[in-house]
Amino acid sequence: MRIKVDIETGSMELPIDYRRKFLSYIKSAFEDYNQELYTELYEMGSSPKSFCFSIYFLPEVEIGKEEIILRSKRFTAWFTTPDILMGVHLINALMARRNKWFPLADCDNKLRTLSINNVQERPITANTALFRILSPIVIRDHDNKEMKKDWYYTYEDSEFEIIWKRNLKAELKNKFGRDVSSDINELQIKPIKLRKTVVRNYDIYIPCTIGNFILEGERYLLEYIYKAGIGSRRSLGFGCLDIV
Amino acid sequence: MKSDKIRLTLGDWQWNASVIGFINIVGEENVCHIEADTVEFWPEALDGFENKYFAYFINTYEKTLSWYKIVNFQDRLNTYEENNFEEFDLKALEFLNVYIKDVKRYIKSNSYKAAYELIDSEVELLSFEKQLITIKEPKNQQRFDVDKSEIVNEVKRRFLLLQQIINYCASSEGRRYIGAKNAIYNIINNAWNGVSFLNSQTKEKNIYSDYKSYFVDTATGYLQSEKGKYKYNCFVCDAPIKDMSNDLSFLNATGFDVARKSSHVWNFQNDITICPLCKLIYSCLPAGIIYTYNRGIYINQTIKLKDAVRINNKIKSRILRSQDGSMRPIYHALVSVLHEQENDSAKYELADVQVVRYENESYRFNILAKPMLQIIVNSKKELDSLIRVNFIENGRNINVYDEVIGRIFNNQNLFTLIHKMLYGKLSDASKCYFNGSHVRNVLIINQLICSRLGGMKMDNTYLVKKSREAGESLRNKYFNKDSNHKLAGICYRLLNALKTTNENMFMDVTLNCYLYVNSQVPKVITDALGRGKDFSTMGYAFVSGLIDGQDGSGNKEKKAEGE
Repeated sequence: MRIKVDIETGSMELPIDYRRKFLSYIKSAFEDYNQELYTELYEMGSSPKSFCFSIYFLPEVEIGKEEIILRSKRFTAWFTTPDILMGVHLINALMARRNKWFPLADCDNKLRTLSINNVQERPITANTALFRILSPIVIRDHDNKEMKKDWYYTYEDSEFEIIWKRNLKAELKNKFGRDVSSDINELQIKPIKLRKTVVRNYDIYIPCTIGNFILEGERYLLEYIYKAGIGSRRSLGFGCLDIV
Repeated sequence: MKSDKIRLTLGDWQWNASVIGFINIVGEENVCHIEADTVEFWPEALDGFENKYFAYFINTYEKTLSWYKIVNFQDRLNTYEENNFEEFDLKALEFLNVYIKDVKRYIKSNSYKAAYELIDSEVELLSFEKQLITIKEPKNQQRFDVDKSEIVNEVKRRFLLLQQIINYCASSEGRRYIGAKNAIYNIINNAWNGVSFLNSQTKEKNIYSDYKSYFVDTATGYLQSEKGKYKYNCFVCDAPIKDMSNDLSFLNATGFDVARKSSHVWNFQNDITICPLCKLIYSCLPAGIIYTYNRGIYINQTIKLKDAVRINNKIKSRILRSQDGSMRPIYHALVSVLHEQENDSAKYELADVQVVRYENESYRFNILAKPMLQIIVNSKKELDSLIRVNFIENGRNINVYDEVIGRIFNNQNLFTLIHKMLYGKLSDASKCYFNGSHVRNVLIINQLICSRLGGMKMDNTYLVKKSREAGESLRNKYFNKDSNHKLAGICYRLLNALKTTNENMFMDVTLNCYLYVNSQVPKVITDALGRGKDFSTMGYAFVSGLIDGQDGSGNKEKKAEGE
């Protein structure tokens, strides 16, 4: 399910860490809409959320080191989720905020949701699909044991695919009612204009990947990836894809 | 040692129904119950059996016979003549014309013609038929009033003819033969066919003597015969029989032609033959089953014969009582007997009893399991509201009450029925004689059925009520946007999604609807997602709210406001 939300900003300046700010907007929308759902999503430790989003700034826009100048004062948030219920909740939560100004946390700006649209998804009919990365892909290796440190990989690293597939296997362990690890192993990424970029998020600089790529593999996996996004930190505004 | 008395013991349903039919015909006072499932009677009870046989059908089904329709006009005739046609108006004339057409149709039908030959009377009924013509109806009451004296004269002439026809039919012979003919082609042929008076090539024209010679005389002759040398046995009662001539193929939907289909029996040697007495009892089958029009019902209570007689008579009296012209659902009588039991100490007396229905020329069987009875008892209010609910599908009239009970008996849920109802309402509301509250009641009963089958926790009325409200409020929003023309298309898509329980498709459509009217999706919808039956219930209730009153007055007002 794909939801397009048009949002207006109060002023032109947005912090470079805008994902975090927008997340706070979504969180407060959830909190107002359904306390139970909010608790389940954000107050039960690091629970995986079934949606991802990306933000597209409408021209004209200047991206600086510390801030973004959004001359159009408009941006579009794309949400995608494989879970229809989550989509409904998202729409309901944002619907309650339509045409009302809400301040953006810790900065001199405010947001107003203008319109919400349910966008038709493209059907995947073959075993290959050409994806465009809407928001950067984060591949993270979390060291749980000793140092509790995160390692991030971009397409240039040889571990990129290994770690991604390992994480995907863990994610899909109980999703399809059967073991899909062999199908995951078969997945093949063919890069088209992939490149590395570094994103500042919660004061951490995360190296990630943007561009286009072709994914080859079982159709249901392609569909899942199309709807759920790819990589880690998805509910934070990373890993959102679209089919070209 | 076998006494001279004849003993009948309960067996399979068809035999039981025949035994009960036999008891009905000879009267309970002429048999004695010796065990719970056994009765005995003296062979004398078979004296004049053919008269008792037809008398039972004529008396029991009197009001449904075409004969009754003819003679029942006598009262009206008398009233008009008594007050000198003062109250005779255009409506009465129209009624009279309909009656005349019916009478003409009846008295020239073949079964009536056959009966005339048996009635000892000089009157030629067929000659009346030619003289009996309808009276020209004036365009309106004013015209009628102007020409009244002329019309009344015409009517009087018709009444003279009709009086003769009625006298002919109402005579004891007329009742005896025409009534019997009616009973044969309306009632008896539902149970058996092809032999005796129902054999199209029968040589005996008198149906009474035909029945007597084919069934009664052979039975009494068999009773008196010396059976020592008989080497075969009756398939039902195991009595020795002479030959294999009697089989069960005369019963509808039973038996087979042993001469042509020998492969139905082991080693191609037919052993399914019955003794003449059992054949006589089987000929009483139509008296055991209760018929309305072409459908029949029999409750196969097998433990106590007395109970079986009592319960079937109760249903019979209910069916026949409610049959004053209007077609009432056959199940209604059964269900009201079930409801009656609720007050008894034996609350579920009929639990695990077999119900046999005769529909579309075949027998259908159900067991009244206790959970079903509980559903029926618990949803009395909803069921009662559905008694007169009908809709037409592919030119066939469907009674919702019968459908609901039928499905409960078959352990089916009602989703497909609800789907049909809503679909019918969408495509042609003029053929649907129900409104949203009826759909709601079906949904509530369905919810009850689903909860009996397990897996449902939600309060059944709450979910239906809330979902319907959600549908209605969305509908109002569409009306406010003047987009009500979109609703039908939306409902079709929603119904398609519900039919395949495709939640994604359903949500896709509803989401777009709510986005279109800029509102939130109600909690009742999101709550029901992913919960199987609850989702379907919610969906159908939602759609019913969305369609409800599509051409109701409230919407017309709104339309007027919008224009």
